Amino acid sequence: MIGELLRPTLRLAGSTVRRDPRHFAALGFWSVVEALPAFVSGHAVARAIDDGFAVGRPGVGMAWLGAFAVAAVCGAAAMGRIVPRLGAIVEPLRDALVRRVVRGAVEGGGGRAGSAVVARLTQQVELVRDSFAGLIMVVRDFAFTTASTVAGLLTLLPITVPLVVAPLVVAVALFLRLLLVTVPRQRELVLSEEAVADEAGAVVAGVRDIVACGAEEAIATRAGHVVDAQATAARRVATLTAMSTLCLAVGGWVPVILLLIAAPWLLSGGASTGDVLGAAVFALYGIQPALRSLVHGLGGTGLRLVVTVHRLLHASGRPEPEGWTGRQVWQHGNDVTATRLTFAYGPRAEPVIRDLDLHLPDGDHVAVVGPSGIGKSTLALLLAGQLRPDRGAVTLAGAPLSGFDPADLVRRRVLIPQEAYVFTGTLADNLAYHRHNATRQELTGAAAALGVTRDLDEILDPAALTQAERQLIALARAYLSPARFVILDEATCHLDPAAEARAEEAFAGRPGTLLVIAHRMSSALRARRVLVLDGVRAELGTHEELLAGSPLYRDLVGHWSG
Amino acid sequence: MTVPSGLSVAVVGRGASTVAALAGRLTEPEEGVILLDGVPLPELGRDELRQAVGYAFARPALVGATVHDVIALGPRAVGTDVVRAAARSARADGFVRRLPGGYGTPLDKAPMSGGEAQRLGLARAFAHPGRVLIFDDATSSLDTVTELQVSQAITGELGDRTRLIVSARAATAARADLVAWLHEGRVRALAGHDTLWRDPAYRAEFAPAVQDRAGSVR
Repeated sequence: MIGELLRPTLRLAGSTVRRDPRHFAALGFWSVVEALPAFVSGHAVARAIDDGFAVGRPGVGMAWLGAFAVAAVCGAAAMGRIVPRLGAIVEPLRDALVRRVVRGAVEGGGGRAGSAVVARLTQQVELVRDSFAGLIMVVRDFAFTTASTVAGLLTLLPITVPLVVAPLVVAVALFLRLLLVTVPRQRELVLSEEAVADEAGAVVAGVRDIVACGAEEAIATRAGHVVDAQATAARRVATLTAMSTLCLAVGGWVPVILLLIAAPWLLSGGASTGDVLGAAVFALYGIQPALRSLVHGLGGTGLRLVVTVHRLLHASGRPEPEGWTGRQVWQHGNDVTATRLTFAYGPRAEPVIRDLDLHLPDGDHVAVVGPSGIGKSTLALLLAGQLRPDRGAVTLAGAPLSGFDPADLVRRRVLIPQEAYVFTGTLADNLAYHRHNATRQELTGAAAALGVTRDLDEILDPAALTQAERQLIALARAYLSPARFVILDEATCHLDPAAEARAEEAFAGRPGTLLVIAHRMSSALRARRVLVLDGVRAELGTHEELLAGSPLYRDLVGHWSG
Repeated sequence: MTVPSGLSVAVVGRGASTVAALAGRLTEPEEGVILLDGVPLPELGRDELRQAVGYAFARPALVGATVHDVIALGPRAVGTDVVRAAARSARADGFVRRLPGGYGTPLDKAPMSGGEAQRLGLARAFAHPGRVLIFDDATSSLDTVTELQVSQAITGELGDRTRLIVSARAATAARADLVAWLHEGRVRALAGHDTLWRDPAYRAEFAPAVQDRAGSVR
């Protein structure tokens, strides 16, 4: 469990080192310089007393303290070189994580990833980047300061090294053990916090329905359990965090006490007052703060990092896109063919699409109709290659969809879902998304064809647009794309009938194949052929053929019309 | 306005949803009082009121861990068979069985369209039928075939309940026993749909939908 939790973080750290070891070498070099004041501190104090203040030569004493000040300035200068290196190490990590997270969310959501999910994951990526940088600093600081201090002790008063190092080793060992116990607890805490947030969100969003159902008490009890679980988890983590203070006491204060106890014996053994004081300075101002920042850093951000990285990399799914075999040879016009297509939303679920055969010759115009929930959108996702069929295959221009390079697929087919996506930017940017080199004339033409009345250079605020405007812009973007296979999945549902007719006519006049998941029966009348889905069979034919041969189609037309 | 017991009354016009909310005390009237079988709503206990009055909404908030829990949410516990029967009546059974875990599918793993969510909301109401059922535009996202099937359930299995049906569809209003036509904050008429249909002002309440549905096909 713990190993499994830690592994993603360790792998992340490893990949950062491998990506560019030079940055780490530079980091090491400047860290040595930065740790110099720690080495000098004890020596400077010892010499200032023994050769200066204690023998009546304050000038020499001040000079030694001055030497320490110079070392401190060098250390600060080194710090200035460390921070940019840290950025160079951490920024690529952020980029890589964002790529993975967004890809995972998009693929995992079957093309319908919630923006809230992506926002939350992106925020977690920022958290990972910040805590990872903090962690590098803390571990680096502890390692170099401790090494520098121990080197100082060895050169000043070697006999005191065990007095300082032994408690430190015990404290660090104790702390690491404690940390391993805390990791799973911290994970429980994070999960329970998210559960509280989800629960609160669901209750707030559902107040009307909860009241209308008279389920106030049941829901309050359930929410109470979730909150209680979070409180318990928080208390557990707090107890473990409190115990880490004990480690701080052992590693930070025991050396000082040992030095004080051993002082008379050290002095009688030939050590000077300055030497003993210098050793105490090493323990108090070298070891103790380094240990404190390690305990706080690893115990705070470190724990969060381990848990977040683990969640992030699990939530964002597959690490790499599954093998596509490279560019496909263009052939067979641009026909779309589905063979024995079968898909279910899970191994135990009934298939939504079963053994569907479909052939759309290049240039065809087909409307798909059927009762709601029968699988029309699922079919759209399958034909677009955004869902993988359980059985059977979809081919485009004779080649299986699963074999296409994702970038190539984008140029060959475009799917417009019901929820149109418009991003903040100019109208021209939005329209040219699939055709970056579009001329002004092409952009104006696409906007006019769909009836988008806004100016090309107007900066769009997606939240301020009506749903109909968003749909028109998404439609114009698809209209302009180089793809010869266009799928409109109720992409005109917010348009009035006249705008819908204009949009469908624009697409019908565009070269290539058009598949319309119909929102109104009128879409079926405009299409060359109609595909009727009823959950068991699929029937394909012209409007007249289906009116004569399909009771369901007659039903749909009849009821839709009245 | 009096809604006769055991009948279905369509509420049409501006303010219909407010009437629906008032009828089950989801909002309080500023003045006046609503009686259920002669008892003022505020005198009914909370449990009593919720057992008596059920709701289905246009955009139901689905509350519960799984699809089953969503339908089972109510003033009293109901069994699996009740949940499934309610889902069948609301024409939700088919798509629920196609979900990854059927009725046990966690809600966040159940991709749902507006029409599917509406059918779960209807199933929730059907699973806890009280004396009064209030449908606040609760079939607006269903295609007409599904809506017809659902309304058959509303008139068939639940035919003895008092039903208040807010709708902007003429076909839905036509299926109700009576139509309460609201205009400028008052009940302009309480009569049969066919009687009211002769009034162009009444027809105007449905104009956009009718023209779309009839005009586009014919």
